[in-house]
Amino acid sequence: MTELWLTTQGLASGVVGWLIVCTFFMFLVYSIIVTGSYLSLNLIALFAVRRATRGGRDLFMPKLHDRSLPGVSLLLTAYNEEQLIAASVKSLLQLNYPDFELIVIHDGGKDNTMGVMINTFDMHPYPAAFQYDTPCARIKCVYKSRKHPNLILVDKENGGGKADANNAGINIARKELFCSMDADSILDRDALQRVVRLFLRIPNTIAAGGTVRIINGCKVKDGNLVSVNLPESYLARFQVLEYLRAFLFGRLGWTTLKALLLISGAFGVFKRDTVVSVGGFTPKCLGEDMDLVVKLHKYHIEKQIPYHINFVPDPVCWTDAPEDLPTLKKQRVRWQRGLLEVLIKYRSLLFAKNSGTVGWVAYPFMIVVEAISPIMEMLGLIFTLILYFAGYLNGPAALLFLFASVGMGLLLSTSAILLEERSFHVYPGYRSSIKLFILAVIENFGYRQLNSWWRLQGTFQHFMGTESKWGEMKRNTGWISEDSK
Amino acid sequence: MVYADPSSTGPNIVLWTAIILFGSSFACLIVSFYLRWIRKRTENKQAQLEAVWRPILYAIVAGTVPSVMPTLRKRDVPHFGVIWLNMYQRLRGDSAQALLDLLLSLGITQVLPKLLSSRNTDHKLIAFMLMTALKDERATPLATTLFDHHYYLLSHTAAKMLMVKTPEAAIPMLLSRITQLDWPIHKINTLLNLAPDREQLAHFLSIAIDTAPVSHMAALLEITFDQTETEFGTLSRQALKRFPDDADTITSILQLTNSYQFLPLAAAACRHRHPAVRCAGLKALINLGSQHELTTIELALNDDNWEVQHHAALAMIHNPAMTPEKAQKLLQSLPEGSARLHLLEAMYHKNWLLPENWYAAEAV
Repeated sequence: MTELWLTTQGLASGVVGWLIVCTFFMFLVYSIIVTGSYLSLNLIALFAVRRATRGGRDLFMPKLHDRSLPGVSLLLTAYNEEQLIAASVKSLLQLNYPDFELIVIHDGGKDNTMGVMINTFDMHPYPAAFQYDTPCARIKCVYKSRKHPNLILVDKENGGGKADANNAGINIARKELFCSMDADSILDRDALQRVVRLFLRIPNTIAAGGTVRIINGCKVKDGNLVSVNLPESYLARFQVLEYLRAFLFGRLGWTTLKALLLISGAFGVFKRDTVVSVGGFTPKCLGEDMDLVVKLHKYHIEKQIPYHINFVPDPVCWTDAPEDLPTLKKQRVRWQRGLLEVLIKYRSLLFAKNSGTVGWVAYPFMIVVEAISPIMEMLGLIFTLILYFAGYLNGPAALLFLFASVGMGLLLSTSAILLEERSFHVYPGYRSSIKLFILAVIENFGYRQLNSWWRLQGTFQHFMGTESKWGEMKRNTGWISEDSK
Repeated sequence: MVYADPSSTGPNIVLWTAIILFGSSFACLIVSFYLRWIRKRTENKQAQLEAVWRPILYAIVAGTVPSVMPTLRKRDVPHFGVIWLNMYQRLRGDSAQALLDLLLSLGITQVLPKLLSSRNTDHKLIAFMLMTALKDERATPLATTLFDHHYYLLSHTAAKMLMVKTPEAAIPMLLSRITQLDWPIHKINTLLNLAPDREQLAHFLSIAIDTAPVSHMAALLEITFDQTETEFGTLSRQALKRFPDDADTITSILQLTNSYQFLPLAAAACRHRHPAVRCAGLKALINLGSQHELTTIELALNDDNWEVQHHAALAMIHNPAMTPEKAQKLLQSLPEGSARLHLLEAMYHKNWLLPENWYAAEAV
């Protein structure tokens, strides 16, 4: 019991010694919980992925759905997106779906997004009848395209975030379902069909998401993804690994457990009426995507209404990853703040009666494994440094722990690579897998710590009550071919 | 006393844990390479088979059977099956029969039972689909057991097999699953399309409408409309007789009908206490194209419910008795508010609106 592997022999008997022992075991137990949770999710996903991908075999799939597919309103929020907006809209208008309208929401940006939209798509104002079903800043005018009858542009005052803009879109939307997405995302042509099928096949489905992949390094021509490759930038490559882990075993595992708490803001389909009944997206919320999903869980659990929140592992949406440190930092700080906001706001779900796996498994996991992990990682680093400077650190043992920790991260990443091969094998060559494997080793030395540091900053800002802002994100447009810009 | 000895069990455990983790990582990578290699090999094999068999299948469909057939190895049957099914599912009549004859002449029927008992689900599915196409009796017992299989395509094929072989047993089985999770209406509908005798199907639907609980009624009516449109009026009245005030039943009938006999029902529905029924009534008035009921629609235009107002505005604009002048007059008579907004939008879509009329439009 008193054996402490990390410190040198003969260290501190008495209070200091026991304090170190307790701290050490706290970190050890925490690591085991985190590792165990991730590995369990991984195993669940390994079994689930085969079944999930089988459902996607279109070859023999009878054309059952075409007539009964419900209408979808695509909500594309745009804040200073003049560079990307035309390409995104052109791409979305080509979606293979029988009944959809595309609503572009200009969220009071300062650039020429409106001008680009009006000129490119011949938009003109029209008298749209709508009401403020969900709270949002004032809608100034609604436009319709003369070229594309299903294209609508909403000009509104800035409401301080994507949630407010999405709510404006929901107020204008007329279809049974709506799909929220980002202006810097490209959808697979069959994306909507793949995801909306879940609403038909699984009754009581109120929301569904799909896998989001990184578009940097790929090539997009006339709104279509023409080739898939790993990004040139190392920062974006690390994010490829993160997305593989998050979507292939994270989301898939949670869906299998019926406890999915997050549908990515880059692509999510929701039932409009249900979202209106919970008050829409929460304005000024930084984690608006997770907020909505958790709110939907809470509403249905409390009212004891049967529901399903689903996910398809198909790579349906491709999004632009930040390639510079300041933008990535902004994104990670925002994610951490959003996570904390949501977990604190809906804390009554934790171990709530009748909350099932949502309240008893997913919510505690989010708190222990996701929310406080930056604090634990930083404390662990500080603890090791204190031991080192106090001369108590057992060098070889510390190296062994580091070795084990890298091994753990590597195992999670390689299992995601394995899942990728078992499911959609998007990245073509053996070389891509080797590159990803090498990156999985390298990310442990610098990138992981940097991420933890940013998330710690997010935690600090949240508890200090610093004003929450989305901030401008620097976009990369290298993946759009010149002639389609 | 706190101590650490690198030779003690502690570091050994950590060391072994690390070695196991690294080893597992490499194993994952190697397995993913192996799977990729298998996949590429399969894709190559499939491409080779495609190159050989696709032109032959096209030739057979076109009516020219090649004098010499290439040999089909047993292990290539699943890949060949994929190509064959891909083509067969798009064909009907003589061309489809020619493809079936090819299967028989290649002697594939001898390989299929073994493939059907395979542990590989994909192989099992292909064998089962081929046997269903061939109406092979040997697959019938399996069809009963696979009817509720969790894999969508296996269950679908099983139901298809039973529909072809024993429709009198399969139709009630399908109708009894109408509210089950794995049996959405469109799946049941597609399978019922295979029923050889439409009268027999209408008979079973009539029995279901007479005996099923109210919760099944909307789905049964939807299926009735899709399967036997001519019987829809009779069976709808049968359903209404049993549940005259059920909102879902009335809504279903109004959404589906295009028969003038339901005009009184549509007009009455516009005053129903349930907003969804009022909307369905107004939509039915558009579909039926009645000139009358303008007063009913005008009342609905001033309804408390936003959705009802929207449908009332559409019904008003699409009413054959309505003209641009009448609409302008109605617009001027309406007070500021949501009803006016809806009418404005409906008039805009009909191209009846002068631009100066709507610039002042404000959301509620």
